[in-house]
Amino acid sequence: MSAEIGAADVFVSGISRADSACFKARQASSIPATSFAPAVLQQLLPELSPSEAAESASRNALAKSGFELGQVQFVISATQTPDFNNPGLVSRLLHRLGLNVGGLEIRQGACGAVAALEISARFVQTGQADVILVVAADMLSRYFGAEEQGAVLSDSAAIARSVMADGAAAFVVSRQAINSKQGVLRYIDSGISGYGQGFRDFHCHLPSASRFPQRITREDVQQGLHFPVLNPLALLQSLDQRVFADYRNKRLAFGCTPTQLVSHSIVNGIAERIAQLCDLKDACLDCFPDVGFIGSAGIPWAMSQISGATTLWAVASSGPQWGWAVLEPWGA
Amino acid sequence: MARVLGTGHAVPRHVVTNADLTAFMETSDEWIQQRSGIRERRWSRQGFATQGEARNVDLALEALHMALSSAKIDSSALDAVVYATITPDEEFPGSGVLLQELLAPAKAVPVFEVRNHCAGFIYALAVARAYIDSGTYKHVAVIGCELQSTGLLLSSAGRGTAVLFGDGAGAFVLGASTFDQPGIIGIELCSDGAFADKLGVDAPGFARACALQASHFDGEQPLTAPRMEGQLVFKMASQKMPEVIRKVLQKCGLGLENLDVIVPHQANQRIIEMVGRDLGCPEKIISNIARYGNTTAASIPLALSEAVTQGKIQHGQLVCLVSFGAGFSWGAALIRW
Repeated sequence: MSAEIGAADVFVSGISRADSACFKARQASSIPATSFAPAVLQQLLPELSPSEAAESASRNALAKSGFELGQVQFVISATQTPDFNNPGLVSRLLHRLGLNVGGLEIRQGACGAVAALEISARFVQTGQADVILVVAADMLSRYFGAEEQGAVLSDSAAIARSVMADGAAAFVVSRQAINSKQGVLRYIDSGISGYGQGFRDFHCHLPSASRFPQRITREDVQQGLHFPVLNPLALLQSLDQRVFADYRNKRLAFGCTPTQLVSHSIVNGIAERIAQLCDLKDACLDCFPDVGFIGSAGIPWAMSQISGATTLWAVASSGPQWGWAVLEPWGA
Repeated sequence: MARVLGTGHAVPRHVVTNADLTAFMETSDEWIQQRSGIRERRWSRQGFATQGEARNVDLALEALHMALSSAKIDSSALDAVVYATITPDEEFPGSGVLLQELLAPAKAVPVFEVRNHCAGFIYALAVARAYIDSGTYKHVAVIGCELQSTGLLLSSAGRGTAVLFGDGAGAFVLGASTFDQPGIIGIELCSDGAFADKLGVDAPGFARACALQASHFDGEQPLTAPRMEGQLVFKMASQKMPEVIRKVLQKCGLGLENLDVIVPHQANQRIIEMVGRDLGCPEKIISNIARYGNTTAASIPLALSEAVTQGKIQHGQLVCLVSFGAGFSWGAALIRW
């Protein structure tokens, strides 16, 4: 069933999201003074934990890719929002799937799926594993809720709340692909980078290990100091200075011409700016206007809706960090 | 093949002895030493720090600079960093961006943040090794760094974990070796999520709405403090660490007789002794837990870097790093030094 291929090749297949029936839409809060968030229907997963959503996406990805659960040799999860602070999402996901293989968890913000793709590609290329399940799941709406119990919600936290939503998606990265399956992609190249000099534009400080003497207290929660904060103007400025030019330069070095851009915006306008720089203005897919900001899940969520094009994944995240990957269609 | 070019470590300056802890909880030096082998630990936490509080990223950077210096390369030559921690300075985006900020004058560097608890360093090492072996990068730093002290519950209710954990950092700088040079020859990574509830910290947790709320601080044991089923962790760690050492040796076509040095995760001196007894080579095991406690992802590079500076690890020796922690997740790495 599997096509024999060269050792350097890496395939991506089965890109899927968690069952959509689980999702419920919520109208985002309006922000009269700015237009950084559209009147999106944020997607929320009120019934599921992150690991349950990740399990749903994983099972869908395996079914779509044609790989059996027993063939998975390693799992990588990218999330900011595990079920519990630690151990992370990957431990609970492995248990739900009934897998006893190594499981790596990374925190890479919205770049999580790109970083997990790149790490899995390197693991496959160097023989650490041949079949890797990659999961990106974020329940960002759950940073909030304490405001309904009286915690103070600042203006910048309210902006963050208006864009942050929930999502989960998964795919399989492998040395061989099942060539009878639709939607198999060949991994071409990728990159992650960052300067970190603008992370305060979109961040959540507490709990912080370096908050002395205690990383978080009841009083901090009551004062709303644990809410994420977002300053859209500063974020866009920081991305302009650091990130957007890098995308343009990277595109010149791809060695192929992507015909489709998949991106994920934290606030309105980010994906459009990247698309403009990459000359893919008319072929840009971003799920932000439909579901809100779903962090690491944004790119694979959008990818689950398309196939058949040489695709550039390009995303900017808090930090700012940025990541890109190029994949081309393969096989059937 | 990836090889270790340099190692480094850093700890806060202030020493917290077992006797110091008796001011906060019902305990004694004898009780702590008997159960864990720990005599003292380093804490950055205010009230214990005499030189100002070091952040997680400060310790990481100090360890990284020592590793770069021992590797004789400049930070501008670094292509990437893999940073293992469960105690970041920022809930999101984490400590990686702070490190990027500090490294940024030189260049933009990808920092991958790994959250695999006590096994974090071995997992991070596997990521870094893959980047070197695939030819993606020439120099990758691997950091294990924890600042546990600010999350500990300093009361008798928190005694089970508060006496164990310490703050610290360790770092490796990896580069590519030529065909006949030594390097990392095998890494084995394992997990069993059936035990995810047995060791960890609950809040903030995103299993259901509202990750953090005031009620999480109710009762003697707030959900933000670590909890552990000590006996089970002890049993599983003593079992799984020798098992994974044998597994990685077998995969590399080697045996226990080939091993020169074992650097285990420093969780508990009794576990370390059990591992040594199981493998029949207690004399090959490095331990510094008495002075630093359990520094989670930092414990292996901290112990190894110290051993290197003390001349306990020589060129050509076969070194095995082995860890076990929350998840449960565990792993071993085999390095020809």
